[in-house]
Amino acid sequence: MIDFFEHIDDYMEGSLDPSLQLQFEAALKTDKSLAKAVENYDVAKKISEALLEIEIAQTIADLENESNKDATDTNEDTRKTPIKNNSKLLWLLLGICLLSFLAYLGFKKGQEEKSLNQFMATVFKAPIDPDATKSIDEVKMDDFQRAKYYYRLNRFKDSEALLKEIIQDNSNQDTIQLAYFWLGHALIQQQQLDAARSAWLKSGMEEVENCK
Amino acid sequence: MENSEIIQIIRSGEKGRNEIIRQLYKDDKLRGGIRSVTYKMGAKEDDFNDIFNTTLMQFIKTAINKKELVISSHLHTYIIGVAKNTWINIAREKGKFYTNDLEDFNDPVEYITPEKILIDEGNRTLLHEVLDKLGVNCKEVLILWASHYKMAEIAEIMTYKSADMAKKKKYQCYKKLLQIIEDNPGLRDILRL
Repeated sequence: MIDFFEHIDDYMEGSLDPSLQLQFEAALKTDKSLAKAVENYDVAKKISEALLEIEIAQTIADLENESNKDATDTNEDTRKTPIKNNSKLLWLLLGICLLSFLAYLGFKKGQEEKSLNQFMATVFKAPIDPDATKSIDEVKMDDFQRAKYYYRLNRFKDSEALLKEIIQDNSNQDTIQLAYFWLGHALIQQQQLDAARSAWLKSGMEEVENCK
Repeated sequence: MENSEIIQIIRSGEKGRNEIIRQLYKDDKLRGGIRSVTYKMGAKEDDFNDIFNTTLMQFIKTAINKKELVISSHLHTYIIGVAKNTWINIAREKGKFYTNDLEDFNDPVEYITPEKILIDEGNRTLLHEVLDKLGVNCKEVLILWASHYKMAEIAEIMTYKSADMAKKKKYQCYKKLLQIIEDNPGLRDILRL
């Protein structure tokens, strides 16, 4: 038995042999499904052509979505990145500030040390005084001699106390200035720089006045 | 890869076709070439996606439908030629300005007759849903049938044992499609038949 559905293409193209053509046309009159298949042939062919377009369009649409998703992800990353970057930048700035501050402190300390060194180099020369070197009977010493003597013995605190008493009790300006001179030395040996400087200023030491 | 190989892959079925489309879609040099030529012809950035996607579709359709197709130039040159004509068609349809003064261009652009696009973008999704019922193999057989492939060629591509087997398969698929047409009378309108 002939399956006319298999010959639809040839029938539509007019390439059936004449006897089959006649049989096909006869079948069209009795077989409704065959008649419908012939009637819809152009539509079916057009849809079949369109299948390719649909498939390509779908592939391109998928690629576009993929591309858009990548772009969105990139944008999100980009949006996130500035925060990270800002955070990094903030830390960097804080780091720089901290380093600058430390450098400043170091510099300042260096300057202070330099300044102190200059100061020390300028004004601090342990005084040599016979009263400060001789070891005599302490009983016969006056207060000033004793203060210098204590200085020599590295009893700076005792020396300081005596010198302050001398300054307070004495009215002789030369003695007071000299006492301040020794007081400065006693104080600087105790690392009381400001007090030493102040004492030396009162003693009239020009080096101290010029040292800032 | 040789142009003939690319065409063969496109004709081999959906999988190979999609791979070629993917490669071309992501080909920045091709995009740049199409952009350069069509912009010189009056296209704007807003038109580019339309031009590029339609060009890809035209190229794939041509590779399948024109069995005698031989691309002697560089593939990019050929596709840029398709893009050029695609832009002219789009500009005409949408009433946009375009120029076709070939003397302005140094590019050796081939003149390619574009394949007719059958379905509006808006109807593709609808058709995709309806025709998905056909299944992958039936779609492929019908695509090849609509592209005037002989049953022996369809059998070779689809790896069926014989041309008769391909004929039988095509017949089954055709019946499936007729049923879909019966069930969806709106398909005629969509295809403007």
